[in-house]
Amino acid sequence: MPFPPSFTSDAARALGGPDWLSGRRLAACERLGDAVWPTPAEEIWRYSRVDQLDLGRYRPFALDELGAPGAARAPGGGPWAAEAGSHAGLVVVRNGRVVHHELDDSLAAKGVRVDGLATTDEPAVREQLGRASAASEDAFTVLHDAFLAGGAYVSVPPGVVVEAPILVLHWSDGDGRASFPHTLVAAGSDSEVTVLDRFGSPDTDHLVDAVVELLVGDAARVRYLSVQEHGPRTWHVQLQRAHVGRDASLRAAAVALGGDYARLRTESLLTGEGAESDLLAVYFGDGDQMLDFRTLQDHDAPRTRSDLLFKGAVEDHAKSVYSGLIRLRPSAQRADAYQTNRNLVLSEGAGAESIPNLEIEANDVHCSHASTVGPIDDDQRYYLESRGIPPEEAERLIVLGFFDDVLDRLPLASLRDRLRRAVVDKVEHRGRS
Amino acid sequence: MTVSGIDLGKYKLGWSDVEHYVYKPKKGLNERVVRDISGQKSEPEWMTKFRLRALKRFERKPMLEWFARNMPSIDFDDIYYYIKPTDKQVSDWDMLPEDMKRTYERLGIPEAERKYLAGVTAQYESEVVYHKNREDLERLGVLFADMDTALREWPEIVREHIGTVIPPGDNKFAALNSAVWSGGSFIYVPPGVHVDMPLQAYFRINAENAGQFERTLIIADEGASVHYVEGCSAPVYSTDSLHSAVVELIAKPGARIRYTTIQNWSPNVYNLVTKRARAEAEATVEWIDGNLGSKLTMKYPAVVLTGPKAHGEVLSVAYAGPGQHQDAGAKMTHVAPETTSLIDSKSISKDGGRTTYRGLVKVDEGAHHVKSHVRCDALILDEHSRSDTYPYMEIDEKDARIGHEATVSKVGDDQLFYLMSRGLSEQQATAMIVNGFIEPITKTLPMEYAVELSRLIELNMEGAVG
Repeated sequence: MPFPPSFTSDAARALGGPDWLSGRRLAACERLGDAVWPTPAEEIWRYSRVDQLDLGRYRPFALDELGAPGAARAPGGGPWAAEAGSHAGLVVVRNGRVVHHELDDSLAAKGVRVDGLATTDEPAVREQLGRASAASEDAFTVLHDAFLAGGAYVSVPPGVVVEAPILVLHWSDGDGRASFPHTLVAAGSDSEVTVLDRFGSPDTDHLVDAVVELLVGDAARVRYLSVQEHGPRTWHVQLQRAHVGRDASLRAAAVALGGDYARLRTESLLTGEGAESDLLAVYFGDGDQMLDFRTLQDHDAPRTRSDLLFKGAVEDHAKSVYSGLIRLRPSAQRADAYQTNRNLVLSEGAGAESIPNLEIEANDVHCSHASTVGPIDDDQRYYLESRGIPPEEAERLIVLGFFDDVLDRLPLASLRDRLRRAVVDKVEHRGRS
Repeated sequence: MTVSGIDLGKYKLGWSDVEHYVYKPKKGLNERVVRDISGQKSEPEWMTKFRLRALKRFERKPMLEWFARNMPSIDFDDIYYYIKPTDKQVSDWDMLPEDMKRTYERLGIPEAERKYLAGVTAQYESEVVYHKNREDLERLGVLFADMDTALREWPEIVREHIGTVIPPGDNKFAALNSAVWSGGSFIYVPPGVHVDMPLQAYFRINAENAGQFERTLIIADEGASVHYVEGCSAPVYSTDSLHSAVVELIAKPGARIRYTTIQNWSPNVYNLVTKRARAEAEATVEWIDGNLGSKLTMKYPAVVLTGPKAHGEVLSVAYAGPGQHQDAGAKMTHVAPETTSLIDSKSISKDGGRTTYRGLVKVDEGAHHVKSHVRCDALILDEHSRSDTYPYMEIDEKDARIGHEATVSKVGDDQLFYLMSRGLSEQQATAMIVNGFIEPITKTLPMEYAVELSRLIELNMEGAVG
């Protein structure tokens, strides 16, 4: 499809940064010419609102708006950093450009890196960038690569354990603009790290086209939490893809509350024997929001294990989509894979689609999935009301109880109360309207 | 576990008869062929028009992408769309041509009729060649005939209902069937009448490159009930045949229809069938669907629940052996409030076979207090085989309770060990476990069919383990 005139190779070239990154952008610009813009007729976009996206409404940022790579403009990270409690490192990303980064000296001495992609020339980083996302290329990831201003880079050398979490705060702002945040986490073999990605925007007509790559080395342990609290007019389209090595484990969670249309495609490829992946999500849509999740648990090695639990609620005229696939390739003998999606529909006019798919090409496996869509259980409501709890309060308690088991399992304990409150705000209509 | 292939010789119904047909036009499909079919049958003008409109739809409709992916090699110009095997239908078995009679006797018909069934229809190629109805049913006003006879005898009933559940433009294969249909069963059960024995039809393709496009219409009037059973088979040829039926069921308020299919087409048949029922208020429709044969089956029996408190059920068993793909499933559309549905699917894949469950539960806005449950279990018997599950749910109503669960597993080592420690061979033990696995479905079948299904599965399982 012809891209709107604002997304030109000149605009991509003008974003600054090292030559290798500019070259990568221009290569992506060329691919954009052939990129087919998705429509809901494609299975992976079925039920989505992608046909309502008018790309012509947006234009990318220019260098003078973003600032040069490496120019620190937002020290400290503000209230979000404070909320997350103690942390080992911090990256602040504004409109896709890293504007601040910091890291404990003791960890820096061990070779841990927390900084920006656009301020490095190292071959190792260049080789890691796109290693996971290239396998799931679509028009949005090509556009992302064409206008990738920089993004956060977190790397932990083999054997190093990072105890406190590393925070990556993405803020997007500006009507009629598109930004392209990126987070690349590379955990060396037998390392351990916890990373928080937090996406937000004010009440602004903005397109966020994000990519998160998690490279989990052999026997590494990565915990990852993504929180999306955009303003009500922001479009968010994100690919999150993890490659998990031998005996490694990934626990990745997502909390999605904001945005007009917010889509998260989350994929785990288990490449090494004994690899494990746990995917969790909490989502709550109200107003006219659409929250859209596509998941893939891709087993390409024996004795791999994956689990998925996505729980969501929709209210008012909000819609949610859950479409997940467990793929057990012929190599995945003795694998275990589970997938559960549960949806609460809280008002007339709201709706939830749930499509848990299986493609199983190995026979010595345990695999199951379950999904439910339904209103609040009458028995639970009756139980509470019969004990004198008013109907609205009963409903609030049941919804919170519904989310509690996932909230309790979120990787960042320090944020749990804050996120629980954010869910309460949504339930009590204090969040948005 | 060692695995050996099943040779085509396993397919016990794979012989073919010498062809001496009354009418066999050229291969391929165009307006002339459609007019020819209609003319051969001396049909009323409206039906000729119905066919021609459907032919236009068929030509215009693109092949769905996932259909095309499943069958890259289908050639619509290399098929005989209509073959007339005899010049008239008989109701006395002895009057059938000798080879056809032999065919059906080898298939166990009409032995079954004598023993058990209330009425029976046998279709050979495009036309019904034998039809027999029990007199007591005729006295009750039950109309049971092949579709061509029904169109002649009761044109008003046919015209009122045909194409109302599955319109000709519904999908490419429904359009194809609407253009070239021939044969199939017609049943009308008057209000309050219960047909207590199953009515049966048997479909047989004999010629190479033949297509069979039967059209079945079953109407159970208010408070009536009926059980219909069909079986299918074809010879084994090196080239492919196409079976593309349309089956419409109409269950009026309080009526009950059970429709049982045991499909055992030879492994060179593309079996692309559109089956859909309309269940009106407090009616019940059950599809019981056994898929054992064919090269590729794509079949998703559907119930549209249009009246309050209607109930729909699909119970299905699929078995995919070498080179087979059973892409089967179910579709429930809840239009009215307080409707309920249940889908229970069991599939077994072996020796490189592939089973797919593809389903949709749809709840329209305003259809409050709907309940639906979907359960799919798959057994994969060796490392060459594959199983997929694609269950769609589209829920546009707050007050709907929808559940889905699925499991994929192999035959448990502990189960095998238990049975083998009691003296069963591994093969017997596996067959027993597989039969236990599908038992929830077989127990709903009439006993003869339950036994046949179990035997067919056991037959296919032979050589599975050693």
